[in-house]
Formats: sequence, C-alpha cells, structure tokens
Amino acid sequence: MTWNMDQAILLGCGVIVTWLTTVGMPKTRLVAFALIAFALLVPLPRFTVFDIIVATLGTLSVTTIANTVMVAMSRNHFVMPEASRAEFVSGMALLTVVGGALYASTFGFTLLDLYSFGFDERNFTLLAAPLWLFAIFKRWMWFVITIPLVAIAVRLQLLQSANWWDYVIDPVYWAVAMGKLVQQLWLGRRVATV
Amino acid sequence: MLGWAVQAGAAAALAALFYATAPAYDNGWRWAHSTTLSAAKTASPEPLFEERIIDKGGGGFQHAATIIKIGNEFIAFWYSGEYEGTANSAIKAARFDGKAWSAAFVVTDQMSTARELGRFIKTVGNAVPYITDDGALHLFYTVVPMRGWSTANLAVKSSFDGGRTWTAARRLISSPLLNLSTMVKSAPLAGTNGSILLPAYWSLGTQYPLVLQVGKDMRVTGLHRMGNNRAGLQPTIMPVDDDKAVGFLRRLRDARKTGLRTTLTKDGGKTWSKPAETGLPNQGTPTVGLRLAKDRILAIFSERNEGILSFGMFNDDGSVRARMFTLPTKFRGNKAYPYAIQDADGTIDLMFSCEDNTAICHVRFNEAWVEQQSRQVSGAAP
Repeated sequence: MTWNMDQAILLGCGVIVTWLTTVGMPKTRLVAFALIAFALLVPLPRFTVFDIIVATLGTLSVTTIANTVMVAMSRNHFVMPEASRAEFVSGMALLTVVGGALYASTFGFTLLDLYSFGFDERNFTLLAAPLWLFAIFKRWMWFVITIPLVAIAVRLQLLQSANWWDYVIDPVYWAVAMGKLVQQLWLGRRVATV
Repeated sequence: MLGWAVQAGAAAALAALFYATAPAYDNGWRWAHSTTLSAAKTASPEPLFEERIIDKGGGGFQHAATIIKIGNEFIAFWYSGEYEGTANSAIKAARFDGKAWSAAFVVTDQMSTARELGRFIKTVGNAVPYITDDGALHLFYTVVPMRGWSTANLAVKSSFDGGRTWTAARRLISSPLLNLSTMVKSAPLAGTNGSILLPAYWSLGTQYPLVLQVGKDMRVTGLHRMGNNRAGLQPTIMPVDDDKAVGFLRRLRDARKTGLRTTLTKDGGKTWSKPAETGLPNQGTPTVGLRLAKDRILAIFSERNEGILSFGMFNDDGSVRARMFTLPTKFRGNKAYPYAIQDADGTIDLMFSCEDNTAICHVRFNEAWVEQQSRQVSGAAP
C-alpha cells in the first residue's frame, strides 16, 4: 500500500478525532476503536479495506476535516466552543443548498456548470468574504474559523485539486449536512409542538 | 458598535488583500490551432494504402488504440485484458519504425496504477497520448475505482525519454462528485497558454461532452462543457481557426433515432452550439477527424453495428460535404474506436480495434488514396 497526501490527511484526521473523542472514554470503547482501525488496515487479497474506502470516498474537503476536528474539540470542551443552534442550522442549510446546486449542475441538470467557476480563486473570495464578515458580525465562530482555513488551503493548493469547490465541500459532508439539517428541523418542530 | 466596525474593517481589508493577491486565472484559453492545421502539409501525388496488425501481446480483449509520433517513430497505446472491464487489465504499447511494429509491451496495469495512486482500482481503460513543447510524452488514461465505466476518473503518466520509462501515475481531479465519471477517448489539443486541452465526457446517469484544461503541473485548471445533459459522448475537436472548431459527438446508446452529431464553437471553446444531426449513422463508437487541405475535414465513423468504418468529408462549418466510402480492409470482425493522426508529409495513420476487439489494426494511407477511393465509388473527388 502506497501512502499519499489524501490518505495521510484522512488518517491524521482520524487519529486526532479518535484521541480527542476518547478522552475520558471507557476502556471498552477504546478497544473497539483500536479493533476497527486494525480491521481497516488488514490486507484483503490485494487491497486493504482502508484503500477501498479511500477510493470510494475520494478526497475529503478542508471544511470536513476542519469541522470534524472542531466537533471533537468542542465536545471535549477543548478550546473550541459549541456552535449555537442558529449557527449550526445555518451552516448545515448552506452546505445542503450549495452542495445540492453543485451536484445537480455536475449531473448536467443545468446548463450552467458551477464546478467550472471553482478554477478561479477570486470567485471564492467574492463569495466567502461577505459570509465571513456576516459571521464576524453574528459571532459565529465556526464560520469565522473555517472560512480562512479553507481560503489558506486553497491558496496553498494543499489538495490535489486546483478547484476551490473541492476544498469547500464533498459529498460525504453534504450527506451529513442534509441529515443534520433534517434532524434539527424535526427537533425544532417537536419542541414547538410540545 | 465601534468594536464591530474595527473588526469588520480589518476583515474586509484582509479579504480585499486576499482577492488582490489571488493568482491570475487564464480565462482566455484557446487552442494553438497552428499545430493542428495541415496547410503546410505536402500531399503525396501517389496513393498510399498499407494494412498491418499489431502483435496481440498475449491475446484477450484489445481496444481503444491511439497513436502518436515521437522523433522518427510512432507509439501506439491501447488497453488490454481478459475481457472489457476485467481486473487484470493493462495499458499496452508498441513501437512502429515506419516498416514494422515491435512486440507489445506493458506501460502500466491495474495493480501498478493502484499502487502509484494509493487507492483501489478495479480496471484501467482508454488512454490518449500527448507531447508537450518540452518533448515530454504524457499519457492520460481512464481508471475505474468502482463498478462500471461511469465511475471512471483520469490519471496521467509522463515520460521524458520517449516512452521508455514513466513517472508514477497522478490523479486528475475533474469532478466534485467523488471525482467520478470523467473519461477520455480523443486526441488532446495544444492550448495557447502552454496548457493541454483534453476532450472528455461525463457518463454517470446523464451524459455530456466537455473539454478539460490541464496545466503544466498536470492539474485540471479549467473546464468547459460542449453540451448539456444527453448531448453526446466521446467528443473529437477539429479546430479550423483561432476561435472556431467543429466537435464530433458520439450518439448516446439509447438514442436510436440519432446519428453522428456535430457542435460548433466560435469563441475558442468557451461555448458550443446545440448539437446538430448530420444525417450520417454512428453506431456505438467515436468519430475521428482530420483537417485536410482545401478547408475540408475528413471524418471516420462507424457505419453499422457490425462495425464497418466509413469515411465522410465535412466543411469547416460542420456541414456534410460528402459521404464517401467504407474502409476496404482485409481485417475481419467488428472494427471500432478509430483514432488517427496525420504526419507533416500528409501520411495518415489510422488505428482501430479489429477482429472483434481481439486485435489492434493499423492502416496507413494518404489524401491521394482518399481521393482515388472517392472517385471509384462516387465518380467524383470529395
């Protein structure tokens, strides 16, 4: 198995998340994590399960990696504050809408190809700067931190892609965002009903 | 309030600085058409027609051949395996010195590519070569990470010694959706800014043709669609001047009533016209185009399901000038996936899958032979 940048990022992210989320965890859960990690690396006839997962998922976006680490930190009360409900719902809604438009466009359902706009970094700045200013005004720290991280990663071209869309969103996070949004809206409706 | 104003001002200044220092995006990309026109080509007065078959290199499925001239010799590339989409597939190559083909050899295979990319690869497929101004030979090829061609994406290997040794494979990121569903088949073009313009197509669920711009660092740096959903597949682009080009599109498999389609651009490939029917048949195989002298485009396309290759002549505006003749060849079985290049002396080298996709065939001819054949069939030159 040859390691490349994507795998290193994915593995590093996993190690950090595992470490942070297992702080204070019972030993049984730690053992379960270790077993899963081991299973992922056991070679099948030609590839490890980890290889197949990476091939299937592709490269995770900088937003996914950053937010995953931030979730782990906030849940363990480590520097990062938890997002307010308004910020969380706004973030998930934004990712859902943006991802939906991007992937619908990619499937050819629209004449406009949104992905092609992602090759010009200035387009990202034009879209992200107002959002960043709004987040600063609203004190939405997750937005305030994530947007510059993505911008720096785009500028440094840390991933294999030269398209900033691949730094902003990936299908895995899009699916998670949709699920979380539905969950939050459902919970909100239930609270309102009660 | 003052605190917010200071923060907002600082943030806005930072964003403006970020915008101002963003790398310039070369939005004016277009092809360097002089490399593809044949105005300087000297047509030989004597008709030339030769047929050869390349060593099968172990038998099995042999498909999607391409060819390129490097120095004084030619190299053909194709993919090979037990059957189409099999796991033990390889990109093979052979050299041609103008008289005979060498034995086939393996450039890369599914396992090597998987190791180099660090990811699971189910199979490899269509490969197209390109030589940059610095003499480097680049081979763009299809890799399939999951089940089916529609999940394919692209990889590239480069050679700086004429195809004897190759760099490790690198991925090309061309789609936001798990980098799925981008394939290549037709000849790349030179971009004016030193980039490579790579005709490609999306085929997951919906199907449409596109052009990828590949930078010198072998990253995809631009993308333009050649049509929307269901426009066609496997585009071949024939530039006719700095801004104009004719695109040939393979019809979709389920579009029974449609044949060979063309689309036009007048702005260097940024926008393309709605694909138009040519009235010529097109059965399950891409079309190859060559721009001949006298403002004509020679197109070689598949006539029927049995895989007979036909010759047609097009005008620079994409209209049909003449439907000429079918390729007279001694090779049996299905003939598909034509690919051709024209040398400076006017000689055309046509590669295609033959013998029911168990061999790669090579036909060498010139414009004089095309005119001779056309006269024999229709009584007039095209």
